[in-house]
Amino acid sequence: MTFALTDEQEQIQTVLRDLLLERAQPRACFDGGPSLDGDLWSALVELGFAGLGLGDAAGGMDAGLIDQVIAAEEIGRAVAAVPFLTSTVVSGSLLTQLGDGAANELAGSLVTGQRILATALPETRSTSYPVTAESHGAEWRLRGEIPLVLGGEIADVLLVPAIADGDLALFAVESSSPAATLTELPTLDPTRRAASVVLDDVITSRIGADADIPGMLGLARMRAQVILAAEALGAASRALELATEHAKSRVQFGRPIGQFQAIKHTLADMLVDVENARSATYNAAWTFDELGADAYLDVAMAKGLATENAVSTVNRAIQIHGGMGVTWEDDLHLLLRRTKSCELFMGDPGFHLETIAAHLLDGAADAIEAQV
Amino acid sequence: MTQEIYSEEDERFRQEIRDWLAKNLPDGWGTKDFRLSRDPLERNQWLRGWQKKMAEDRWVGIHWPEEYGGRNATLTQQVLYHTEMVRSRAPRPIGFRGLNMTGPTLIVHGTPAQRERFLERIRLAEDIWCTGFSEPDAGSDLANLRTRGEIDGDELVINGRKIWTSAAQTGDWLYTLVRTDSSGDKHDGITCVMIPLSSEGLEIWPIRRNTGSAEFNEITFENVRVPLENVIGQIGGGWHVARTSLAHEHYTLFIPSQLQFSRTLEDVIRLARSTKDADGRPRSELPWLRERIARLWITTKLVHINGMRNIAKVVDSGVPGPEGAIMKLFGQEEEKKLYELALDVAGERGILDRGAAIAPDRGKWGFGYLGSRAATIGGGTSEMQRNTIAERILGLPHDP
Repeated sequence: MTFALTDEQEQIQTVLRDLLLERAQPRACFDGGPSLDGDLWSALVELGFAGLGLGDAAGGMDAGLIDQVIAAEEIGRAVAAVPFLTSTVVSGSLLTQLGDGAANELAGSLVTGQRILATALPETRSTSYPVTAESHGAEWRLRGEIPLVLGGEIADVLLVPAIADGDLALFAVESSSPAATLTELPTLDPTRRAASVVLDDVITSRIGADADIPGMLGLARMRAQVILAAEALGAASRALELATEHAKSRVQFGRPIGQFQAIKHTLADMLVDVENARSATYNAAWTFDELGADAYLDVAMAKGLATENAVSTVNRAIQIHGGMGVTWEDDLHLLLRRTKSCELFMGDPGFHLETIAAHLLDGAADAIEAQV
Repeated sequence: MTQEIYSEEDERFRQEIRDWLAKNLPDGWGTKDFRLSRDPLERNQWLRGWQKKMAEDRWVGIHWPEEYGGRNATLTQQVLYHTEMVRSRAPRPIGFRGLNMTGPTLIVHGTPAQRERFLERIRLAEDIWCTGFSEPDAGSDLANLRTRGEIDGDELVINGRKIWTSAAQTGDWLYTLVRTDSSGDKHDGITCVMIPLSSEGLEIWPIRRNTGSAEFNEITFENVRVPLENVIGQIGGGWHVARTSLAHEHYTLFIPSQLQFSRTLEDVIRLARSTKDADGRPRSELPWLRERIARLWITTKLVHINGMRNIAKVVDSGVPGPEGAIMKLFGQEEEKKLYELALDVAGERGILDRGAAIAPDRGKWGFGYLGSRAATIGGGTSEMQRNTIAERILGLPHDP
């Protein structure tokens, strides 16, 4: 039974926490600054984190989603402005699964930090793909408008799913292509922005021609959902720490406010919520790594519960901080911006709870026992 | 969930208990063909016999050391044991308080003579133990207890009252705390003592609960005399002894409670699917119920994962931490929600009680709803768990 982290995983945690504490500059993203902490990303690339979980063929490190989760938790804690989710986890995993030469080469350039990638995953509940591809001999022309690509504003290459001859196929689009127009979109969390993309006969080539693209996009989406849960978990852990420190040091009515049960019981409930978020997130990663058939339920649970608990934890941390908690100067709004974005993006809690409810309530009635 | 891969030795252990249960559970067990008697005394006799049978093959108190009839079972083996017990729906040993509390306390603090006298009888269900901690004026503030124990020669003379003792009518012994000295700090001067429930001057007064049934009792002591050899540990050292026994409430006991929770949720899901509103629509289609059902499903998973994480931590550090309070707080709050949901799923007909022919599930949910109000009170209120978490995990200052 292993319901604990391995020594190597604890090492990832320590290395990243120290590095991010020293180097992350999320405030540089505000007031017109860029949404990429370039120096920090270079440092992470140097240490191999850009290739975490991407395997040998791409020059990365073999690792599971659980290892990526541990890294994402630290990134969330520091509200670091790095494209670990969009470039490494989503785009990198897609490419290495495709496993052909072109895909590995592209993934390799991501691992070395030469390029940053983003993937135009369809929006939650969308029923169609907005891009179509037409073949012209060996090359393809892509047309369409994608309203929101997370991390698209800093991407050198976009992975774009498009309908080609009635099937879903995957294409790599250079964002510098003259026929591609990327417009940066301001976001609630300026450390993580997005772009809208217009493709007007972009000439490109297809990657992973024989692969099951819908299936792989589904897996990429699940990975992203667990990583969003992990980032939210990290940010919530930080908020709990800040609120606990504040409750110990802030004196009112002649005693630390943490002695009042209104405050200490709130903090106790926050700890329970954070630990539950951790259980849900790690569990989803473990199950996903073991290719469990019901992994989608564990992912729904992680994304729904962990992000919801995280947002509510940060909100209570703000309340405990009183007036300072709502100032620009205090870091809590950074944590709130990140956790709330993690909660909303790729299915809000209600959406994921409904996934679980459908499994429990709409299947064959005789299977209830096996479901619960 | 996750990486539950067991060693060959553990798999053998699992097979052993599984085979034993298959061979020894009565015919028709777990089906409608087998029903335990509704008569409390007959039921009690049967359950004592079942525990004795388990004990004879060393299948109770498996966490006890081998020299006292246990198996010195590892935490992993305890997890497997509880899982198999629940899977086969085998009855929980009726003497679980003795097995989980009195026994382990005697093993740590008892004299050789006390161990000789009590341990085997606990295992064989020859003595069923009850516990008496709370008093009318000592609930969350347990150390405020006032039941007096005066030393008179080689006897302790006890006067006072205890409250909320379960199963006292059918039990044999009481494991309790009395005040032998009130001159110093309230935590000093408390003594841990074992009292036969048949003692002269001891009376048991059933307390009727909000459900109408009476599982709890008040116990009064009027010059009850027990020999000093019934004291566990030092005279005046009872607070320390009690803390160890409460810490022995076992890390693996979340498994039976989690599975019980899952089974109740299964019943709720069946109810939601089979109950139709007047318009003919199953209540399982109502969005506000769907969300709550999904949330409680998540709870069943979290209780399991949290429990396993806690075990991993105990294995790693060797000592129980305050994390138990996290599990307790979450588990007991969620148990209330489960019964709230059940009654809400029943809808308008949820107002019907047992005896009404059209009551959903024969009206059992009202009983559960009322009964589960105790979940956040008994065994340490949620407020006390929050204090433990805040003070011992987060390091916040103690209450004034």
